[in-house]
Amino acid sequence: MSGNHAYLSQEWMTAVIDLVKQSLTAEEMKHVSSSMVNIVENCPDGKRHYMYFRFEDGLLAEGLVGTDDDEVASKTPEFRIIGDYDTFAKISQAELGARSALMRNKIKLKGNMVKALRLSSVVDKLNKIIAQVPTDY
Amino acid sequence: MPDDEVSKAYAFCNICKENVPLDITEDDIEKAKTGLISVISVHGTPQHAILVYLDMNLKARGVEYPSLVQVNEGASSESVQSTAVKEDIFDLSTIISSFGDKQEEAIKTFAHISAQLIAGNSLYLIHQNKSIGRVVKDQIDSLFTDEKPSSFVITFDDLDYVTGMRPTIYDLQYGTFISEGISIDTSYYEQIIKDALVSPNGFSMLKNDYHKLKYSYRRLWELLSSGARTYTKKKLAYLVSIDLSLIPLLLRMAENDGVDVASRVKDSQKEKK
Repeated sequence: MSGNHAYLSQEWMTAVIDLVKQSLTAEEMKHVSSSMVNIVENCPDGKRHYMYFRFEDGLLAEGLVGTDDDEVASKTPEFRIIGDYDTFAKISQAELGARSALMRNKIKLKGNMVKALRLSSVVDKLNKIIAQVPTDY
Repeated sequence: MPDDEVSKAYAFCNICKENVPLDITEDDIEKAKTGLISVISVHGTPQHAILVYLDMNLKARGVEYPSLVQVNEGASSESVQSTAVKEDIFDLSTIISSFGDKQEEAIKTFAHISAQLIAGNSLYLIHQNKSIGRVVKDQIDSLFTDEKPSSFVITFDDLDYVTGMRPTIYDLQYGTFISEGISIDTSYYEQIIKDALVSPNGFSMLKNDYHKLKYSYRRLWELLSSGARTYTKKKLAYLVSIDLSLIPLLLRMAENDGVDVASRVKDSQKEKK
Protein backbone atom coordinates (compact mmCIF):
# COMPACT_ATOMS: atom_id res chain seq x y z
CA MET A 1 0.00 0.00 0.00
CA SER A 2 1.44 3.31 -1.04
CA GLY A 3 -0.96 5.44 1.02
CA ASN A 4 -1.68 7.44 -2.11
CA HIS A 5 -5.16 8.17 -3.39
CA ALA A 6 -6.27 6.78 -6.73
CA TYR A 7 -6.59 9.59 -9.27
CA LEU A 8 -10.20 10.70 -9.77
CA SER A 9 -11.50 8.59 -6.86
CA GLN A 10 -13.85 9.97 -4.19
CA GLU A 11 -11.03 9.77 -1.61
CA TRP A 12 -8.77 11.69 -3.93
CA MET A 13 -11.36 14.47 -4.37
CA THR A 14 -11.91 14.66 -0.60
CA ALA A 15 -8.15 15.13 -0.13
CA VAL A 16 -8.10 17.74 -2.93
CA ILE A 17 -10.97 19.70 -1.36
CA ASP A 18 -9.29 19.66 2.07
CA LEU A 19 -5.95 20.84 0.70
CA VAL A 20 -7.45 23.51 -1.54
CA LYS A 21 -9.49 24.89 1.34
CA GLN A 22 -6.42 24.95 3.56
CA SER A 23 -4.00 26.36 1.01
CA LEU A 24 -5.73 28.69 -1.44
CA THR A 25 -6.99 32.08 -0.39
CA ALA A 26 -9.77 33.96 -2.16
CA GLU A 27 -7.24 36.65 -3.01
CA GLU A 28 -4.91 34.15 -4.67
CA MET A 29 -7.87 32.91 -6.68
CA LYS A 30 -8.67 36.53 -7.61
CA HIS A 31 -12.13 36.20 -6.03
CA VAL A 32 -13.26 34.31 -9.10
CA SER A 33 -16.79 32.87 -9.30
CA SER A 34 -16.96 30.17 -11.92
CA SER A 35 -17.37 26.45 -12.44
CA MET A 36 -15.79 23.88 -14.69
CA VAL A 37 -16.04 20.20 -15.39
CA ASN A 38 -13.12 18.26 -16.79
CA ILE A 39 -14.31 15.32 -18.86
CA VAL A 40 -11.55 12.75 -18.78
CA GLU A 41 -11.59 10.33 -21.69
CA ASN A 42 -9.58 7.17 -22.38
CA CYS A 43 -9.24 6.35 -18.68
CA PRO A 44 -7.46 3.10 -17.69
CA ASP A 45 -10.78 1.56 -16.52
CA GLY A 46 -12.39 2.26 -19.92
CA LYS A 47 -14.94 4.66 -18.43
CA ARG A 48 -15.34 8.37 -18.91
CA HIS A 49 -14.63 10.27 -15.70
CA TYR A 50 -15.66 13.74 -14.61
CA MET A 51 -13.96 16.21 -12.29
CA TYR A 52 -16.06 19.22 -11.28
CA PHE A 53 -15.06 22.38 -9.39
CA ARG A 54 -17.17 25.39 -8.46
CA PHE A 55 -15.66 28.52 -6.94
CA GLU A 56 -17.61 31.32 -5.28
CA ASP A 57 -15.76 34.57 -4.74
CA GLY A 58 -12.42 32.77 -4.89
CA LEU A 59 -13.32 29.98 -2.48
CA LEU A 60 -13.96 26.37 -3.42
CA ALA A 61 -17.69 25.79 -2.95
CA GLU A 62 -18.05 22.35 -4.52
CA GLY A 63 -15.83 19.57 -5.83
CA LEU A 64 -17.14 16.35 -7.34
CA VAL A 65 -15.85 13.34 -9.25
CA GLY A 66 -17.71 10.51 -10.91
CA THR A 67 -18.63 8.76 -14.14
CA ASP A 68 -21.53 9.01 -16.61
CA ASP A 69 -23.91 7.53 -14.04
CA ASP A 70 -23.17 10.05 -11.30
CA GLU A 71 -24.54 13.47 -10.36
CA VAL A 72 -21.41 15.18 -11.68
CA ALA A 73 -22.29 14.20 -15.27
CA SER A 74 -25.47 16.28 -15.16
CA LYS A 75 -23.77 19.49 -13.96
CA THR A 76 -23.99 22.52 -16.25
CA PRO A 77 -20.83 24.49 -15.48
CA GLU A 78 -19.50 27.61 -17.17
CA PHE A 79 -16.70 25.62 -18.80
CA ARG A 80 -16.60 22.03 -20.07
CA ILE A 81 -13.08 20.82 -20.77
CA ILE A 82 -12.55 17.57 -22.63
CA GLY A 83 -9.27 15.70 -22.89
CA ASP A 84 -7.43 12.42 -22.49
CA TYR A 85 -6.57 10.83 -19.18
CA ASP A 86 -2.85 11.30 -19.87
CA THR A 87 -3.27 15.02 -20.53
CA PHE A 88 -5.36 15.61 -17.41
CA ALA A 89 -2.91 13.54 -15.36
CA LYS A 90 -0.12 15.90 -16.50
CA ILE A 91 -2.24 18.97 -15.74
CA SER A 92 -3.13 17.62 -12.29
CA GLN A 93 0.57 17.06 -11.60
CA ALA A 94 1.26 20.67 -12.69
CA GLU A 95 3.51 19.34 -15.45
CA LEU A 96 1.36 20.96 -18.12
CA GLY A 97 -0.22 24.40 -17.82
CA ALA A 98 -3.92 24.79 -18.54
CA ARG A 99 -3.25 27.68 -20.93
CA SER A 100 -0.60 25.79 -22.79
CA ALA A 101 -2.83 22.72 -23.10
CA LEU A 102 -5.63 24.87 -24.53
CA MET A 103 -3.34 26.69 -26.93
CA ARG A 104 -1.82 23.47 -28.22
CA ASN A 105 -5.27 21.88 -28.63
CA LYS A 106 -4.42 19.15 -26.13
CA ILE A 107 -7.78 19.80 -24.49
CA LYS A 108 -11.04 21.03 -25.96
CA LEU A 109 -13.09 23.73 -24.35
CA LYS A 110 -16.79 24.40 -24.43
CA GLY A 111 -17.39 27.86 -23.05
CA ASN A 112 -15.98 31.34 -23.49
CA MET A 113 -12.43 30.77 -24.74
CA VAL A 114 -11.30 34.33 -24.03
CA LYS A 115 -12.49 34.13 -20.43
CA ALA A 116 -10.98 30.66 -20.06
CA LEU A 117 -7.56 31.88 -21.19
CA ARG A 118 -7.78 34.80 -18.79
CA LEU A 119 -8.65 32.41 -15.96
CA SER A 120 -5.87 29.98 -16.82
CA SER A 121 -3.48 31.42 -14.22
CA VAL A 122 -6.08 30.77 -11.54
CA VAL A 123 -6.57 27.22 -12.78
CA ASP A 124 -2.80 26.69 -12.69
CA LYS A 125 -2.76 27.78 -9.05
CA LEU A 126 -5.46 25.21 -8.33
CA ASN A 127 -3.49 22.52 -10.16
CA LYS A 128 -0.32 23.32 -8.20
CA ILE A 129 -2.26 22.53 -5.02
CA ILE A 130 -3.84 19.40 -6.53
CA ALA A 131 -0.33 18.24 -7.49
CA GLN A 132 0.55 18.11 -3.78
CA VAL A 133 -2.07 15.44 -3.03
CA PRO A 134 -0.32 12.05 -2.90
CA THR A 135 -1.82 10.32 -5.91
CA ASP A 136 -1.49 7.12 -7.87
CA TYR A 137 -2.04 7.89 -11.54
CA MET B 1 25.46 69.56 -6.28
CA PRO B 2 28.30 69.17 -8.78
CA ASP B 3 27.32 67.21 -11.89
CA ASP B 4 29.85 64.44 -11.29
CA GLU B 5 28.12 63.50 -8.03
CA VAL B 6 24.86 62.89 -9.89
CA SER B 7 24.23 59.68 -11.87
CA LYS B 8 21.67 59.44 -14.63
CA ALA B 9 19.03 56.77 -14.98
CA TYR B 10 16.04 56.93 -17.29
CA ALA B 11 12.38 56.01 -17.06
CA PHE B 12 9.70 56.13 -19.70
CA CYS B 13 7.05 58.79 -19.06
CA ASN B 14 3.64 57.83 -20.42
CA ILE B 15 2.45 61.43 -20.42
CA CYS B 16 5.07 62.91 -22.72
CA LYS B 17 5.94 59.55 -24.36
CA GLU B 18 9.64 60.03 -23.82
CA ASN B 19 12.41 58.65 -21.69
CA VAL B 20 13.07 61.17 -18.96
CA PRO B 21 16.34 61.45 -17.05
CA LEU B 22 16.35 60.95 -13.31
CA ASP B 23 19.04 62.55 -11.20
CA ILE B 24 20.38 60.01 -8.73
CA THR B 25 22.69 61.19 -5.98
CA GLU B 26 25.39 59.12 -4.27
CA ASP B 27 23.12 59.18 -1.24
CA ASP B 28 20.26 57.65 -3.28
CA ILE B 29 22.58 54.91 -4.57
CA GLU B 30 23.52 54.02 -0.99
CA LYS B 31 19.85 53.93 0.05
CA ALA B 32 18.95 51.76 -2.96
CA LYS B 33 21.29 49.05 -1.68
CA THR B 34 18.83 48.25 1.10
CA GLY B 35 15.51 48.72 -0.71
CA LEU B 36 13.57 50.63 -3.31
CA ILE B 37 14.11 54.35 -3.55
CA SER B 38 11.57 56.76 -4.99
CA VAL B 39 12.68 59.55 -7.27
CA ILE B 40 10.44 62.24 -8.62
CA SER B 41 10.94 63.94 -11.96
CA VAL B 42 9.10 67.14 -12.73
CA HIS B 43 9.29 67.94 -16.41
CA GLY B 44 7.44 68.69 -19.66
CA THR B 45 5.01 71.29 -20.93
CA PRO B 46 2.58 71.53 -19.27
CA GLN B 47 4.68 70.57 -16.32
CA HIS B 48 3.86 67.22 -14.74
CA ALA B 49 5.52 64.75 -12.45
CA ILE B 50 6.38 61.08 -12.42
CA LEU B 51 7.34 59.15 -9.35
CA VAL B 52 9.76 56.34 -10.14
CA TYR B 53 10.70 53.47 -7.85
CA LEU B 54 14.24 52.30 -8.49
CA ASP B 55 15.98 49.17 -7.26
CA MET B 56 19.65 48.68 -6.36
CA ASN B 57 20.57 48.45 -10.05
CA LEU B 58 18.75 51.76 -10.63
CA LYS B 59 16.17 49.93 -12.71
CA ALA B 60 12.62 51.29 -12.63
CA ARG B 61 10.44 48.88 -10.66
CA GLY B 62 7.34 51.02 -11.00
CA VAL B 63 6.23 54.40 -12.25
CA GLU B 64 3.36 56.45 -10.88
CA TYR B 65 1.78 59.61 -12.15
CA PRO B 66 0.81 61.68 -9.12
CA SER B 67 -2.09 63.89 -10.19
CA LEU B 68 -2.18 66.13 -7.18
CA VAL B 69 1.43 67.25 -7.10
CA GLN B 70 1.71 70.97 -6.79
CA VAL B 71 4.73 71.93 -8.85
CA ASN B 72 6.69 74.77 -7.30
CA GLU B 73 10.00 76.08 -8.48
CA GLY B 74 12.70 74.50 -6.38
CA ALA B 75 10.38 71.94 -4.82
CA SER B 76 12.27 68.94 -3.50
CA SER B 77 11.30 65.30 -3.88
CA GLU B 78 11.01 64.99 -0.11
CA SER B 79 7.94 67.22 -0.15
CA VAL B 80 5.92 64.61 -2.03
CA GLN B 81 4.42 61.71 -0.11
CA SER B 82 5.09 58.45 -1.87
CA THR B 83 2.24 56.00 -2.38
CA ALA B 84 2.37 52.24 -2.55
CA VAL B 85 3.30 50.60 -5.85
CA LYS B 86 0.07 49.51 -7.50
CA GLU B 87 -0.60 45.83 -7.97
CA ASP B 88 -0.21 44.42 -11.42
CA ILE B 89 -3.29 44.30 -13.59
CA PHE B 90 -1.98 41.44 -15.68
CA ASP B 91 -0.30 38.30 -14.57
CA LEU B 92 3.03 38.27 -16.40
CA SER B 93 3.59 34.56 -15.87
CA THR B 94 0.25 33.86 -17.60
CA ILE B 95 1.30 35.84 -20.66
CA ILE B 96 4.63 34.05 -20.80
CA SER B 97 3.08 30.61 -20.35
CA SER B 98 1.56 31.02 -23.83
CA PHE B 99 5.01 30.40 -25.23
CA GLY B 100 5.89 27.02 -23.80
CA ASP B 101 5.23 24.44 -21.12
CA LYS B 102 8.65 24.91 -19.55
CA GLN B 103 9.22 28.37 -18.12
CA GLU B 104 12.85 28.63 -19.28
CA GLU B 105 11.84 27.87 -22.87
CA ALA B 106 8.83 30.21 -22.67
CA ILE B 107 11.04 33.06 -21.40
CA LYS B 108 13.48 32.59 -24.29
CA THR B 109 10.66 32.69 -26.84
CA PHE B 110 8.98 35.66 -25.21
CA ALA B 111 12.33 37.49 -25.01
CA HIS B 112 12.86 36.95 -28.72
CA ILE B 113 9.36 38.18 -29.56
CA SER B 114 9.76 41.21 -27.28
CA ALA B 115 13.09 42.13 -28.86
CA GLN B 116 11.56 41.96 -32.33
CA LEU B 117 8.69 44.23 -31.34
CA ILE B 118 11.04 46.70 -29.66
CA ALA B 119 13.11 46.75 -32.85
CA GLY B 120 9.91 47.68 -34.71
CA ASN B 121 9.56 44.34 -36.44
CA SER B 122 6.13 42.88 -37.23
CA LEU B 123 4.83 39.89 -35.30
CA TYR B 124 2.39 37.36 -36.71
CA LEU B 125 0.82 34.88 -34.30
CA ILE B 126 -0.69 31.81 -35.88
CA HIS B 127 -3.64 29.94 -34.42
CA GLN B 128 -6.50 28.23 -36.19
CA ASN B 129 -8.79 29.68 -33.52
CA LYS B 130 -8.22 33.40 -33.95
CA SER B 131 -9.93 34.27 -30.66
CA ILE B 132 -7.15 32.39 -28.83
CA GLY B 133 -4.53 34.25 -30.82
CA ARG B 134 -6.22 37.57 -30.09
CA VAL B 135 -6.10 37.01 -26.34
CA VAL B 136 -2.35 36.44 -26.55
CA LYS B 137 -1.87 39.39 -28.90
CA ASP B 138 -3.89 41.70 -26.62
CA GLN B 139 -1.81 40.64 -23.64
CA ILE B 140 1.45 41.27 -25.50
CA ASP B 141 0.11 44.62 -26.73
CA SER B 142 -0.76 45.58 -23.17
CA LEU B 143 2.97 45.74 -22.45
CA PHE B 144 3.26 48.40 -25.12
CA THR B 145 0.17 50.47 -24.26
CA ASP B 146 -0.07 53.79 -26.12
CA GLU B 147 2.60 52.65 -28.51
CA LYS B 148 1.08 49.53 -30.02
CA PRO B 149 3.48 47.17 -31.74
CA SER B 150 2.58 45.82 -35.16
CA SER B 151 1.24 42.42 -34.21
CA PHE B 152 -1.34 40.36 -36.03
CA VAL B 153 -3.22 37.11 -35.58
CA ILE B 154 -3.50 34.85 -38.60
CA THR B 155 -4.33 31.27 -39.47
CA PHE B 156 -2.11 28.96 -41.49
CA ASP B 157 -4.19 29.79 -44.56
CA ASP B 158 -3.21 33.47 -44.25
CA LEU B 159 0.55 32.78 -44.31
CA ASP B 160 0.81 33.74 -47.99
CA TYR B 161 -0.38 37.24 -47.19
CA VAL B 162 2.29 38.01 -44.60
CA THR B 163 4.23 41.08 -45.60
CA GLY B 164 7.37 42.81 -44.36
CA MET B 165 11.07 42.32 -44.83
CA ARG B 166 11.77 39.84 -42.06
CA PRO B 167 8.59 39.33 -40.05
CA THR B 168 8.49 37.24 -36.92
CA ILE B 169 5.97 34.44 -37.31
CA TYR B 170 5.19 32.31 -34.29
CA ASP B 171 2.92 29.29 -34.31
CA LEU B 172 1.03 29.30 -31.02
CA GLN B 173 -0.42 25.85 -31.60
CA TYR B 174 2.88 24.07 -32.11
CA GLY B 175 4.99 26.45 -30.07
CA THR B 176 7.56 27.12 -32.79
CA PHE B 177 8.86 29.99 -34.86
CA ILE B 178 8.17 29.78 -38.58
CA SER B 179 10.26 32.89 -39.12
CA GLU B 180 12.39 34.40 -36.38
CA GLY B 181 12.77 37.91 -37.79
CA ILE B 182 16.04 39.78 -37.33
CA SER B 183 18.85 38.16 -35.40
CA ILE B 184 19.02 39.62 -31.89
CA ASP B 185 21.00 38.61 -28.81
CA THR B 186 18.14 38.24 -26.35
CA SER B 187 20.12 37.60 -23.16
CA TYR B 188 19.36 41.09 -21.78
CA TYR B 189 15.65 40.61 -22.53
CA GLU B 190 15.66 37.20 -20.86
CA GLN B 191 17.21 38.76 -17.77
CA ILE B 192 14.68 41.59 -17.46
CA ILE B 193 11.82 39.12 -17.95
CA LYS B 194 13.23 36.86 -15.22
CA ASP B 195 13.63 39.88 -12.91
CA ALA B 196 10.08 40.96 -13.64
CA LEU B 197 8.70 37.48 -12.95
CA VAL B 198 10.01 37.55 -9.38
CA SER B 199 9.01 41.15 -8.75
CA PRO B 200 5.63 41.85 -7.12
CA ASN B 201 4.92 44.48 -9.78
CA GLY B 202 6.70 42.72 -12.61
CA PHE B 203 4.22 43.66 -15.28
CA SER B 204 4.67 47.41 -14.72
CA MET B 205 8.41 46.99 -14.40
CA LEU B 206 8.72 45.15 -17.70
CA LYS B 207 6.34 47.58 -19.38
CA ASN B 208 8.55 50.50 -18.41
CA ASP B 209 11.69 48.71 -19.58
CA TYR B 210 10.05 47.93 -22.92
CA HIS B 211 8.79 51.48 -23.41
CA LYS B 212 12.21 52.83 -22.57
CA LEU B 213 14.01 50.50 -24.99
CA LYS B 214 11.49 50.98 -27.78
CA TYR B 215 11.60 54.76 -27.53
CA SER B 216 15.41 54.88 -27.48
CA TYR B 217 15.89 52.28 -30.19
CA ARG B 218 13.62 54.20 -32.54
CA ARG B 219 15.59 57.42 -31.85
CA LEU B 220 18.92 55.64 -32.28
CA TRP B 221 17.81 54.00 -35.52
CA GLU B 222 16.67 57.39 -36.89
CA LEU B 223 19.98 59.00 -35.95
CA LEU B 224 22.15 56.29 -37.47
CA SER B 225 20.06 55.64 -40.57
CA SER B 226 20.38 59.16 -41.92
CA GLY B 227 23.22 61.65 -42.33
CA ALA B 228 26.87 60.84 -41.92
CA ARG B 229 27.73 62.26 -38.54
CA THR B 230 29.65 60.03 -36.16
CA TYR B 231 28.82 59.69 -32.50
CA THR B 232 30.45 58.42 -29.36
CA LYS B 233 28.44 55.95 -27.29
CA LYS B 234 28.17 58.52 -24.51
CA LYS B 235 26.79 61.12 -26.89
CA LEU B 236 24.34 58.58 -28.30
CA ALA B 237 23.16 57.67 -24.80
CA TYR B 238 22.48 61.35 -24.17
CA LEU B 239 20.74 61.87 -27.53
CA VAL B 240 18.47 58.85 -27.25
CA SER B 241 17.88 59.31 -23.51
CA ILE B 242 18.94 55.95 -22.20
CA ASP B 243 21.46 54.56 -19.73
CA LEU B 244 24.92 54.31 -21.28
CA SER B 245 25.09 50.62 -20.33
CA LEU B 246 22.21 49.84 -22.73
CA ILE B 247 23.81 51.47 -25.77
CA PRO B 248 25.81 48.35 -26.82
CA LEU B 249 22.55 46.34 -26.84
CA LEU B 250 20.78 48.93 -29.00
CA LEU B 251 23.77 49.15 -31.33
CA ARG B 252 23.82 45.37 -31.80
CA MET B 253 20.12 45.48 -32.62
CA ALA B 254 20.69 48.30 -35.12
CA GLU B 255 23.60 46.42 -36.71
CA ASN B 256 21.44 43.31 -37.18
CA ASP B 257 18.76 45.56 -38.58
CA GLY B 258 21.09 46.67 -41.38
CA VAL B 259 22.48 49.90 -39.92
CA ASP B 260 26.15 50.59 -40.59
CA VAL B 261 27.06 51.02 -36.95
CA ALA B 262 30.82 50.60 -37.41
CA SER B 263 31.19 53.73 -39.52
CA ARG B 264 28.86 55.86 -37.42
CA VAL B 265 29.82 55.08 -33.85
CA LYS B 266 33.30 55.74 -32.54
CA ASP B 267 34.69 54.91 -29.17
CA SER B 268 35.71 58.06 -27.33
CA GLN B 269 39.28 58.27 -25.91
CA LYS B 270 37.86 57.64 -22.45
CA GLU B 271 35.76 54.66 -23.66
CA LYS B 272 38.83 53.19 -25.40
CA LYS B 273 40.76 53.20 -22.12
